[in-house]
Amino acid sequence: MNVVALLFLFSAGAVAQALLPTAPWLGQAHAPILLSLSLYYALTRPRAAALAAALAAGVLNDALGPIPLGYSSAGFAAAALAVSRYREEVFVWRHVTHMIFGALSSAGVTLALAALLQATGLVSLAPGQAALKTAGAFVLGAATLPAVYAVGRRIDTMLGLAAPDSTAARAWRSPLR
Amino acid sequence: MAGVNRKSLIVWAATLAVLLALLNLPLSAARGAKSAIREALAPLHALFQGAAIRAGETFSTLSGIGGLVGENRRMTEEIAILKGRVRELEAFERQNDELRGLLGFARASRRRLIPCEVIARDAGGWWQTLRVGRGSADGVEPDRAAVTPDGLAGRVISASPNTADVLLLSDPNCRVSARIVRNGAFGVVSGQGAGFSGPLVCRMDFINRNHPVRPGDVVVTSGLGGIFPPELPIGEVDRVTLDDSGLYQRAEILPRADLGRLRYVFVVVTEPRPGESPPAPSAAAGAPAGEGDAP
Repeated sequence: MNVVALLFLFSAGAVAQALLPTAPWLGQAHAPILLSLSLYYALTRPRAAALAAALAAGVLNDALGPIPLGYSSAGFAAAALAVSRYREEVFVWRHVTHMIFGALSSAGVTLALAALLQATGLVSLAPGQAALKTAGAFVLGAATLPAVYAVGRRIDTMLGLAAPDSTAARAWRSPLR
Repeated sequence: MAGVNRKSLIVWAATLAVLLALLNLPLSAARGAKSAIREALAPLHALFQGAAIRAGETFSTLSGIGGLVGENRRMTEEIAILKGRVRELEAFERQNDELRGLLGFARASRRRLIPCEVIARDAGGWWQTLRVGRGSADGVEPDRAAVTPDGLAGRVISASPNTADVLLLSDPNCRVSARIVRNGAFGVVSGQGAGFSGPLVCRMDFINRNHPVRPGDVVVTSGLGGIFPPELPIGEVDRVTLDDSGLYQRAEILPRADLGRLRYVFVVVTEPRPGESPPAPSAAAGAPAGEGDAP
């Protein structure tokens, strides 16, 4: 059931990410739905499951555009590891934690991808464009992760994978148990 | 403790192995994997895109009804509903007109065109691309020009059996050998991406400075390079400057096609319609090369 939920979430997320509009003042950055989904798994699952989800989300992200396979997976896995490591270091208001995780991860992955794509000659971005895109990714990451978390949480609750009233990551019922 | 470390080690090793495998996947295998994922998601893309368009039209209809009710508070509910229906019909009529226009364009064209509906755009935002719902099964192949009734849109860069990716004219990696209609000067048009605000623009480089270019001049494809057929309208000159070397003119071009709002594009099949001869290429001595570099 967990895998079915993951497949559904990732497919819907991939489609939504490709369809949602973007804006020039955000540097053409897209809402990082797939990254946020992998972060959701990093926030609520053990590290192994989080890494598997990050790799899968990265492959989907790369498949939807001309990015070579593996680039996004590396970035998503690094972000998932960082979030998994620091997920207990939370602010009083959980959404603030998610906003910060989403913003920093999205900006970090965008910056890393920009450097990687620039280094391999696949895109040529002026420093200003890269900065604008990173700033756009920061804003969109802060907005997207709390929303994705809420949706993922609700689906997990519906499927019996998480307790309805729980707010802490440890309340999640692990399928590995 | 040792068990935890061992498990952790296995997780790290597996992650690294998968990453290395992905990054070193042979090109054909990577293409195959991407193609399979795109094919799997294509029906969902088409479904969501259709739903998004219908939702937009419904919202537009409802906001129109809201305005009417505000202006005419005494109007009966029945009249409001009827007006809503009229608006819905108008939306259908607009769509009908648009499709008829596209059909007319396809019929009037000298070349065989494959009409394609846009189902998605580049999800990463690194390139100016869009995905269409026709692929190699329909004859859409890489390195074919994509056009709209207004002008050139871009070129196909990859195709799976039922989808294809089109690199738009506004992407810096899309280069087109072009010609200015008024004075015949050649140059290379490349995209400039999206500006901070305003429309998507392109730039025409390497224009001989002995052929003065003026704002408003019409730019068309030259037919050199083999990808884009000749005489396809690209856009109009907006601004002219000298390049850094001072040897050539450089012109900012406003594309004719509304690249930010495309819903349909036509992929040009090189072969002419049955019973027609192919259009003759333009005389093009000394024209610059550089068309169609892949991203």
